[in-house]
Amino acid sequence: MPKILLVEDNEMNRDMLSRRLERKGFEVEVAVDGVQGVEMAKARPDLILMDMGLPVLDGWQATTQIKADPRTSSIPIIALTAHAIAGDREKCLQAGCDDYDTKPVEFPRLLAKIQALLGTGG
Amino acid sequence: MNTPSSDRSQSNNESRLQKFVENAPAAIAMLDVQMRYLVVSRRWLTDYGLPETIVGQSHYDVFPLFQAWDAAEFDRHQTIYTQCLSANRAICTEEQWTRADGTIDWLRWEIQTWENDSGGVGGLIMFVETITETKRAERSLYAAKEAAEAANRAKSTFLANMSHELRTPLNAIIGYSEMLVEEAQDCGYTEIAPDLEKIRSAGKHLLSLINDILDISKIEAGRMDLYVERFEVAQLVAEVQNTIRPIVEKNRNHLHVSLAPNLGSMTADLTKVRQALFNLLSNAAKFTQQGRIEIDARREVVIDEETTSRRPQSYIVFQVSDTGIGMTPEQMENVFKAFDQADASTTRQYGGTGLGLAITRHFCQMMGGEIRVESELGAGSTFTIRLPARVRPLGKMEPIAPITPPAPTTPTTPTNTVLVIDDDPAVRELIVRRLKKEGFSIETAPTGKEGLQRARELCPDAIILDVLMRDMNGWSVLSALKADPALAEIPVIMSTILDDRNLGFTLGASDFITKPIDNQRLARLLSKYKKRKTKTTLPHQILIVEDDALLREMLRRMLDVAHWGTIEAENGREALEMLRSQTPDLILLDLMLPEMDGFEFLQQLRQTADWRSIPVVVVTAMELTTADIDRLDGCVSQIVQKGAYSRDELLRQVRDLLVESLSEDR
Repeated sequence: MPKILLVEDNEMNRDMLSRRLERKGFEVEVAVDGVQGVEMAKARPDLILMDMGLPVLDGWQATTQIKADPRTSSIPIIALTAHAIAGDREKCLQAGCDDYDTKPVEFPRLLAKIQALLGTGG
Repeated sequence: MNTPSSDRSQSNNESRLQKFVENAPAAIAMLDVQMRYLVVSRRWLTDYGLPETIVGQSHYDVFPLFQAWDAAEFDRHQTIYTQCLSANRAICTEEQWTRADGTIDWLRWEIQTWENDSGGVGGLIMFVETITETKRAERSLYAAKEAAEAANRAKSTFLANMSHELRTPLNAIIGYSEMLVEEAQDCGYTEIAPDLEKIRSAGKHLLSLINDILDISKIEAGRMDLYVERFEVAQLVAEVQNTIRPIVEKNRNHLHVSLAPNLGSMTADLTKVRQALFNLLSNAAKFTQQGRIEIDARREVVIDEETTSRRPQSYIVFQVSDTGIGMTPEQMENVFKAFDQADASTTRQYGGTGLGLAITRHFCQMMGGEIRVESELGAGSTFTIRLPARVRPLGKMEPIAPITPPAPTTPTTPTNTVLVIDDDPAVRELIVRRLKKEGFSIETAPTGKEGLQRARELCPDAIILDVLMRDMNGWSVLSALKADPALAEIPVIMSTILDDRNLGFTLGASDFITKPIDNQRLARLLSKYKKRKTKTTLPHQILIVEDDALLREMLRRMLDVAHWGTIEAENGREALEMLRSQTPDLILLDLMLPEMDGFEFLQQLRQTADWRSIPVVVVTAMELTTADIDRLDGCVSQIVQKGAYSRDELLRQVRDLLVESLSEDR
């Protein structure tokens, strides 16, 4: 069962996304800010969903730290940003994210991206 | 030879002249060179409450305030008169004047010399007008205009904030209803699924309305930015076509797409072009039933007569036409205005905010393009968007002054060399052609063995390595590279058709790219290393001048992560003291500081020759006035508005500016 780390500060979004992912058969761990996200990445989940507008340490910084650490650098990260702003995509990829999606999340699309990165199904 | 008639006419003339002066509806006085009154109009006497006996008296005695009240005023006026006597003329368009009873008036005056019979200066003629009322009206108009502008700004800001607030609960409505639809289907409650779907789609619709309001208020508040990037036009149209299909099919319309073969790519704000096309197509779909909707894209090359260069300019033209209800000429006139739908009943019948076309036109204009409409009532409409194929970024964050690059302390690094190891000549050629354009110097090797040899000879800045090669597999080459201490540090980008990234990373590849190779991604990866390299030879230090400890801390941590050194100061005075011992590459400056504020700090900074070239990025929560901006002009590289953004956004922006400023050291 693939394990996904969801780093998201908004409780409602966290609840929705984690429940939907669990129903699709993923094991979901949640972190509520960037620092916790970086910490929990050390448990080596199969994939990380990273909100970019996080408190304490934002998603860009958290991603940079995860990608700089050889123990966690190979974990694929999908960035989630609140605004569909062009340029954000660029910034996410520059920070080392492997893919990018906008919020509100379109679940089937996100699922396809997750599966593509995990090399399963889809 | 005075005849009686000429005598009479002379006296007639004199009496007329006398009457002319006396009755002139203006305060006029004629004085000699000693400033004694010769002639005055009646208005002069009434306006200043003077007796007729002033003729023959000195101007300074008539207006004793000059001496008794204010010696400085006396001096000032005397200077004006003396200067005027030699310079012919003096005009003052407005001047404050305190009357004897203490009331304050605004005056406009003109003084001019007059010539005596012998051709010399006989004295002065003065004209004074009271403009107190005009002045008062002007002031209240200005105040009203300021108030209206402030109210409008406040409204736009409110709308922008509110729209954001509205979206949060709406996302929950959409998200949870979507979940419930899935759950209902999974658990077999199929009868409630359509109802849940209605909640979801109403939520989606509401979200799009709110997004429109957010966009228009951003545009009005001058906060809409432009993000210019390169993209394939055909790919964009295909993407829009996919999104729009369900909306087109709802009214049983047919969508036809025609793309010119020479479309190629364009450089513009992808999101805005996409939104513009989506707006036009969804309008077409909304106002057409069982009809035909067409989207047509082509490239136009014209010699622009207006530019002096007369170089051919390339434009991308999108045309969206429908066979729908069409518009009257009156409706066409208003179609691009915000808050002004074709008519109020349109809203009820067809829904929408009516902002879509206003937003679309703004977007087109921001990108240096235009939108036009042709329409016939009952026959359909055609909207045409014409955009430059290369949009120049002219966002509101344009630097006020050209960015001063940090003074290079070492000679600029020579071109970056990239070694491409790939057995496919076509791939090699492709990469060489593409990366040469980006300013890299490229070397190639057709086999793994040769690749290793070339790597040892060249010691390149980066290596692009194919995973599947005939003689030696890429992973073995990578292992060999990482085993050689001289080569181990060189970043290797693995290029492959296999998604085998984990193997690559454990072997020490720093990045990974899949085939077919996305050139932009590759160039981006490499430029990342380019920056990293200059950084190691040239460590950057940033001085943060910020009184908010939390913000200071966040900035520092952010910069730490990106390997920038930082020093911190709480106010201008502290910052100046720090500068005496070390010179940073860039200063991040808050304007509202205790003790010594940002403006004063800048002033002092620019007075010292050694510090003048340090780029300064201002971070401010203040709404800057034109006067403020003038004060900053030429002193700072960038201004970041604190209040307009959340803290996260602010940090993000500051970081981008830093990267921009620091990477310009070429």
